[in-house]
Amino acid sequence: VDSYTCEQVAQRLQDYVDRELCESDRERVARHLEECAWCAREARFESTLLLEIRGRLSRIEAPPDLLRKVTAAIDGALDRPAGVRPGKV
Amino acid sequence: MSESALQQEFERQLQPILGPAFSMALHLARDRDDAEDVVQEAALLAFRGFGSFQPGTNFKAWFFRILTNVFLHRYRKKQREPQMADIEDAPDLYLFCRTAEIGLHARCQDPAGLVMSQLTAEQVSAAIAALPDEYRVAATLYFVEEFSYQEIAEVMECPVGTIRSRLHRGRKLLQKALWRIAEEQGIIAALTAEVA
Repeated sequence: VDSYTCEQVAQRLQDYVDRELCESDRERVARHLEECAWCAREARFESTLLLEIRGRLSRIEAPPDLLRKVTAAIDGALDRPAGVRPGKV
Repeated sequence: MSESALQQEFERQLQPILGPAFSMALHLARDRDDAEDVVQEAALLAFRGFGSFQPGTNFKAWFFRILTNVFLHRYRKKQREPQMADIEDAPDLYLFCRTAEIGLHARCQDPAGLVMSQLTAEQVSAAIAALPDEYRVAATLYFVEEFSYQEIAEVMECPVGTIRSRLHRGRKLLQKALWRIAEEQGIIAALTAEVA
């Protein structure tokens, strides 16, 4: 597999970091990164940034009673008394 | 399917994604009560439309589409559309270039980690929240929920190419915003002084 040029890698760097490239494109970018220290630095920087941003924005737990509130809202919309669940006697 | 069976099936599918849905709503609305309201309204709308949901397709993407629409309908920013010049103005690899300019790359193996370690979760979250709506939704789905481009395209009902473009531009704006926050907080000045 031929490697890409710096310019071709720059055009694909976001997709590479985001793991959205097809296998052959990914291999060609990876091969270039093995040979080009500058592009490898850029790729490392962007990968770290992605991980750091994701690390800061981790999932927030839902309140424990949210499911109950949601089902109560649906019961209300169906004009069914809260707590009387479908399929239960 | 009877109404009761439909409700049971809906709740069976909703339960495992309710946590991620609340998290998404909270990252968008940035207020717990508002996030609960968004999730509840989305759940009601989804239940009413559940008859049209195609079994076997992506329920999470389908529900998140409704959730996103509820959020946008309630809280769409009354702001002008972003000036394209503002977006084009930020070059690719904005933070990479700026951190290189102040000499961080020469003395530090991990300049991205160094700058980001100085920023709080609240500051990063605020920077994403300040993005124009369509970039903000795509960025939240990508950074928080770790949706693929294809899944974001399903949620936002856009071609994958449009999502790629929104994430690319959104990321440039985000990097610019993070740099500005780091400057305002004196973080860049401190790092520059250390380098000098």
